[in-house]
Amino acid sequence: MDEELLSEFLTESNENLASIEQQLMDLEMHPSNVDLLDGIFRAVHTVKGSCGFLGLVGLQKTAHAGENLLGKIRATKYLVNDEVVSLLLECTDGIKALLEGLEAEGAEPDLDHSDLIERLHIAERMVEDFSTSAKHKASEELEEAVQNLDWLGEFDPLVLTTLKGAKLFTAQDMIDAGFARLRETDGLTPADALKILGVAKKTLKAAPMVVKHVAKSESKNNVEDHPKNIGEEDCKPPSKKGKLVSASPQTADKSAAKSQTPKATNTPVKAVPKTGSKQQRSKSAGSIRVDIELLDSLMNQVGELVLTRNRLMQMMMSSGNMAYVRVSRDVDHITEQLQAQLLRTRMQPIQSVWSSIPRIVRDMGKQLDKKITVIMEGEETELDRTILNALKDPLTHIIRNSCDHGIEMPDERRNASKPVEGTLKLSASQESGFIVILIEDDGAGIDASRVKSKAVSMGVLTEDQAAIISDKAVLQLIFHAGLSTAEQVSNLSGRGVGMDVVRTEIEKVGGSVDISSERGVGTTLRIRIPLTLAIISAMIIGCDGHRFAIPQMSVRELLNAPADSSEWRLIGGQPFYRLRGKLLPVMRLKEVLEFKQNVDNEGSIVVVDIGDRTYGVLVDEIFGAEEIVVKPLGIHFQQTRFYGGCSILGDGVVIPIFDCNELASLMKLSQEAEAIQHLEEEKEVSMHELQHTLVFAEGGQRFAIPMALIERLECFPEKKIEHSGSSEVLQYRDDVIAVLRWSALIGGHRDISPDDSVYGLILSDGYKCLCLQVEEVVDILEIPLDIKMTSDNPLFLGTSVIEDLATEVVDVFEVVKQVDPNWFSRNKSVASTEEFAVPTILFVEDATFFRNLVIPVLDTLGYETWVAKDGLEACAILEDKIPDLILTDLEMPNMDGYGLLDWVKDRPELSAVPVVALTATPIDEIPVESQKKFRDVMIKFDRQTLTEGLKLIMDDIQNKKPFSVEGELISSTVTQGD
Amino acid sequence: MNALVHVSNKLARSDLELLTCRVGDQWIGLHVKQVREVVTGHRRTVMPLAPSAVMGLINLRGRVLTELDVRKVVGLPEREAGASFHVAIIEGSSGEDFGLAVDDVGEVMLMDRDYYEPTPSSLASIWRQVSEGVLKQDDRVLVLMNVDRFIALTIPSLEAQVPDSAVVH
Repeated sequence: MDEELLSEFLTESNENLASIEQQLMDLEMHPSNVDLLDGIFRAVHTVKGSCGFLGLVGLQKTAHAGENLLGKIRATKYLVNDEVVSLLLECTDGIKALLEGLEAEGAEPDLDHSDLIERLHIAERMVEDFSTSAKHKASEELEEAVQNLDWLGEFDPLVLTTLKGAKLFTAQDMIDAGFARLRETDGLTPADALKILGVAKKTLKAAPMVVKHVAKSESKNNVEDHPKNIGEEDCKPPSKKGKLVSASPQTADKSAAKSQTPKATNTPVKAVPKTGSKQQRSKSAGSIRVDIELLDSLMNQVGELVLTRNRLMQMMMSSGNMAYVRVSRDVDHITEQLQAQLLRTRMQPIQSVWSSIPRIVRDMGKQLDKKITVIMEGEETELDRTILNALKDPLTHIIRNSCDHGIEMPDERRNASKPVEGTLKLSASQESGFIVILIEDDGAGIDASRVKSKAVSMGVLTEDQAAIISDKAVLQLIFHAGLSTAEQVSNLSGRGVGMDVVRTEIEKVGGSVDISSERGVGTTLRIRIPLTLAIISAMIIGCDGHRFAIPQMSVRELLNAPADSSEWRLIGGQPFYRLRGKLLPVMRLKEVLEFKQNVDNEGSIVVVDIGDRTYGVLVDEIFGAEEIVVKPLGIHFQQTRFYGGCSILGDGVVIPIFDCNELASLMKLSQEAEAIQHLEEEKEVSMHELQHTLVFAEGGQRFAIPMALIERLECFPEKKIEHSGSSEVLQYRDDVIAVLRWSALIGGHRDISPDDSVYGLILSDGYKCLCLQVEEVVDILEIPLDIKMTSDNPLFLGTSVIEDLATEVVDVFEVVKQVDPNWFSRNKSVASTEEFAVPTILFVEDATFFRNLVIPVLDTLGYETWVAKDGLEACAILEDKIPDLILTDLEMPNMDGYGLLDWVKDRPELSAVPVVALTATPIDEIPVESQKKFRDVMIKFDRQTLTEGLKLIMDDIQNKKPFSVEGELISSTVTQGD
Repeated sequence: MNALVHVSNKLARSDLELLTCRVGDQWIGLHVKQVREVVTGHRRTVMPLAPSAVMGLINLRGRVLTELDVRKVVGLPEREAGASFHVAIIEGSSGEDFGLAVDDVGEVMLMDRDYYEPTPSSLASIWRQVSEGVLKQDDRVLVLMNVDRFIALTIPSLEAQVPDSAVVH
């Protein structure tokens, strides 16, 4: 078989068939649309006709059966129903399968479509049965025609009928009619015309016939715009074709009506455009087909060029020669353009992938008895073809899922007063180097609680995790392997495999996917993928003398993180870095890549964002960003999937590129920590009143202690706790400190074997320490501590809700008293003996928690404390009496700290009273000018500095002021409640 | 296995061109047709957590190749630091090229295949796995190495069957 001819045929057939699915579906909607039907018929007919030339028997048979059915439908004006359309779709599928096989193997694949053909025949007969007796007659005529025109050999019955209708019976008739008339006869294609003429000539040559019949009947003007490549007509020498063409008569009205007619007649036959429709023709006029492989290799070479350019630029820049620099800038510029434009050549509209979706939805709808419309937006959005190919399967899967699980049955929809017809909306748009694809359905949404219980039953989540995980985080579990929520496993989806594969596939091309859903409203999947993969911008980092590239698209920011930064946290062995109030899990690259163990947290953090989560990569050095060409890694790296590829740097050294999605899996982040991660990310609590709080668990109950009161978190073997008399002690640093068991304090008991590791919270106050031994440290959170309920137990300040769980907030002072009742009184006694009068402090604070936290501190310092809940209350008190110092919170209802300060400044009698601000926000976040207004600004929960700072100021006051104002004690004990 | 057919076709022809290389005390023969070139002193990039046989990646005129250490695969102790070695660039049947690090490179010899003997069972098992036959010379036994089998040995899990899924550079 002529290879060139074959490839022409394949290209053409694929083009013809590309739109046929859509057309068939349109026909289903508008069964009476004759133009549509004609278009479909032509496409199938062309395929069949071409197969004949190429001797592709199987393909011809299948196409032929389809064509017959279409022909019958057309002839009888039968209005197609969905069943017929389904059958026709199946037929085009069959043809496509054959074409694919042909393309892959160069020979017709051995596919048995006899069943399909049989069904097509049955349908054909059924259509026929529908036709009236008149049409019956027509079919008889057809039979007759077939007999009369036997000499033509194997031709489509329809063609024969047409010829008969045009009163053309003999070879001579044909020749007399001529090419132009034949081709303009309704139902005949130029190829048919040529073929008929060819056969006619041959027949006449073999046995000259007498002219029997000269047809003069008018042929219809309605000439078909036909895509057939008549240049392929192999039985005719070119000279003949030329003659035929030039000899053809041509009427003015026809040529005016049909744009293709003059073209076909005035230009050499070979030049007749072959594409299927007019738009396509005009588009293809300025384009050529290029082999993908050629493009790919071109892409590689441009990649190399980019690298060489990088080197050249380095050399030229350092040469200092301006002329060189200028030239190299030009090279730089041109290379950039070349690269950009070449990238564009590889771009294809996303439509090429989406085009199959309406069909999928239609078939799914039929199978599931659901009504679903597809809306597509942004089909013209272009993507690199490699990425497009990779998207195909995940998209199909998502669509299937949406149809199957998302959209409800029509009855359910009606009951929910939704439109009976479900809507599936796909949209694509470009967003700074990325394409965002949204797949939205207006279905039932996903029941987070069902996912949750499923996840628990599958062991993906523990009960405890399930209790604290948020709905949004639960939904992401859909992408976890082995989770499917379909109650009934259908043959369409819900086999429990899939969404994890979807995620993997998307991540493979550097994309990310997340899901959001609202019960009863619908589900939205959001896919974010890079425009291209071949050349990427990457951050070059150094780790233990090695260089690595991290794709820029995953990099959110870079942080300098000294090892002694106070932002480091260690939770369950996993380092976290506090970044703007959120805990960022940090992977120590050096450890993960097994260069070194137990490294300190020195270096820089690359904050990596992979869609559903963010993590940090601790590296030694950051060299900067560079454009690099992604090259694939060899077969040895199939298992080390965190390498996404490699590249060659300007200096010729190979550098591995990390795949940040896979890299994340190297970080052995427990699921618990992961769940916390999700929570962290969602939480958008204002910075106001946030504080670090340690949450620990004992006997299944949760407790919280402000971090400010904890000096260190220790984990040590139980046997390190020694007995000293009746109490337990621990050697801590150079000291021996008392150990309190929280379980004992709350009246519980727990057996611990000497080899078990236990957690100890080291509480410190000035020079004294004690260790509070707890069962399990859950987390350190930055949260607003809002005490909802007060407690009767003196050990607790009250109950707060932390991560949706009731958590008892521990009153550390009570705890400390258990060990040493004199812990606080020592200072107090000193103070009371030294002072004549007790200094007074007006403490203004709206939050119960902080009041309860700070008042004991003030008590300890031996001050008398007046308490106000906001600025206004404070003013009321100040109208009455004057304290030695005003200690005020900044953020308060009614009147805030600034308002209070202004009010105080307006009062001459208060001019000597220093106003100290207390804040929960880091001090450097408060504007300096605001800070300056106050005597001092202190952090609420930093007891140490609070104590020292207050002492200093008080001493200062006492020195200046020999007397002190007596004031009424409003509260010297722990006030509770609002 | 495809590679076997491929090789046995080669063996059917009577003359074989071999490049001899030394690894430890063992001399091996590589089919010259599969050897593209021999390079020395290339800068390599170590790939952390890569399979143990992988020494690193090298840049061969813009192509990135995986370099495999034959010593590692046959269980010999690591080369002393600073010891020189050569890298034979070979063509795997999958289309991917690899670098094979060997201690020394001998000569190219033309050999009649009839002189070859089947792999003796006395040969160390690791060599038997990659051997297509041996050639006994006066003072040495030359193992004719099946490069594809050798490469298959260096790939961690066996599910990574060699040819089709391999990435072609």
